[in-house]
Formats: sequence, structure tokens, C-alpha cells
Amino acid sequence: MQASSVSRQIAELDRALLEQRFATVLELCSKGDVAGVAAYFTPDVVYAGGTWRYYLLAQRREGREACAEMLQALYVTYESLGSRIDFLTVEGDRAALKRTTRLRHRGNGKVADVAICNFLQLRDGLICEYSEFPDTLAIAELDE
Amino acid sequence: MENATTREAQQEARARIEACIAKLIELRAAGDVDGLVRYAAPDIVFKTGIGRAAPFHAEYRGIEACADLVRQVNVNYENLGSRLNKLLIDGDQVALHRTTRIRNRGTGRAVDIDMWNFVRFRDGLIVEFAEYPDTEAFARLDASDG
Repeated sequence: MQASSVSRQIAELDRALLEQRFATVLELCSKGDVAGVAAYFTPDVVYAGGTWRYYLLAQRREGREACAEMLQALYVTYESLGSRIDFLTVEGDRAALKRTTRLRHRGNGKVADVAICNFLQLRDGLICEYSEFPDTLAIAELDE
Repeated sequence: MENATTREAQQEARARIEACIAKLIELRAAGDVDGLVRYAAPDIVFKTGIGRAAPFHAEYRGIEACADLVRQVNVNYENLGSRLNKLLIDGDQVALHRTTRIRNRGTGRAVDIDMWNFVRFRDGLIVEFAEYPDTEAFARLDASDG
């Protein structure tokens, strides 16, 4: 077997494992399982922000506890009804994904499919940095 | 030896795609549609699942349709340049995050807009180009009341 073929197969395997891991994390999000999601964070994880403006996610957070608290507060307002990963790009320990997440606003009961892009930095298989870039207008409409 | 050769080939392929992305950003700011089209496969597809108003309201298929889309965009908006914040290259798949300064030619307003692009290459040409901008920033750019 050619070395390039072996290398490609290893890369595909790594990619498949990461895709499975992200799907698991998104499933935990849809269950509102904060401790489950936080188990995939490094202790020094950083939420680096993104383009959320209207809510808690507009602020940078440092550390597993701070990020877990943010998720907890987020789940009070929104319920994730499930996600589908549409694009996943992985280069070394960095990943970018685009997903479609069905969100329900617990206050007004509105439901919408929201496109969200994420950037993730990994260390030893855990997330050590992440950021979120949602369809900001869809979020604003959900909040109305 | 084979491993080193494979690594070198991968690094070269990555460098080619990185140079291509930098060139696309430059051509976009220059409004050069013919230049952009040279990097597109005949069956290229442009996607944005979140565009609401024309010309971003639909999927565009084929080189002519995509070139027309860019021309329509150029009529409405002026691209004043982009800063590349993240670039991930995964074989033929690319994800990039950029902040682009865009001016609405109608209102004269200019704003910085964050966007993610997911791009697929085939034989060095783009076959799929997906765009996910900060839609609220776009709405602000298009607002008539400032």
C-alpha cells in the first residue's frame, strides 16, 4: 500500500471520529446536558465570541466553569431541538463546521431552523477554544 | 522517504489553495468577475441557506449563473477588501472566516461584515461555494433609515 494512501486513510479516520464527537456534543446540547457538554471542554477552554449580539454569547468566557454557566443560562432561554452538520472542515487540531440547528425560544414558543457556523480548536481530543457565528437575523426574529 | 514526499505534496497542494483564496479575495475587491470565473468549474454551485433578498435569495448553478450573481452583487455593493481571520484546508475542502468591508452603493453606508465560506475544489477549480454572512449586519447595511 502506498504511504499516501495510508496517510489519507488515517486522516479520513481522524475526521470521522471528530465528526462523530461533534455530533455527540450537539446531541448533548439538544438534551440540555451542560455537564455532558462540559466534559468535552479542556479546563482552560475559551469561548472566543463570534457574532451573537443579543444574548449571553456576545461575551468572551474563559474556563470550563464559566463556559458551562453560559450554556446553562442559554438553555433557560432556548431549547435545541436537534442539529444537522452540513459542512465539516478539519485541519490538524482545528475544525470549522456549519450546522442547521432547530431552536425553540422558551419564552415566546417560536421555533426556527438557524444556520450556525462554529470554529473549534482542539487539544488532546477536547475543545480548548470555540466561537459561534449564527444567522444573526434569524436569531433576532426568534427573539421578537 | 515516501512519507516525506507525501508531506511535501500535501504542503504544496495546501500552498496552492492558500494562494488561490488570497487571489479570490483580491479579485473580489477589484470587482473582477472574469478573473473570478477563471477559478470556477463549469458546474459550480453557489449556496447560501440564509440569504433573504435578491441576489442572495436562491442557489445558483453553473458558471454563467454564478458570474451573473457576482455582477448583480457588484451593482448593489462595493467590496472594500477583506481580512482573512481563519483558513482551514482539508484536502479539497476549505473553510474560511473573513471580515469584509462592504459599501451599499445606494445608501453609501459601509460596514464590516463577518462571514464564513465553505468551498469545495475539484482539479484545482471551485465546484461549490457556500456563504454564511452576519445577516443582521447586512440588514443594517441595507436599512434606508440608517
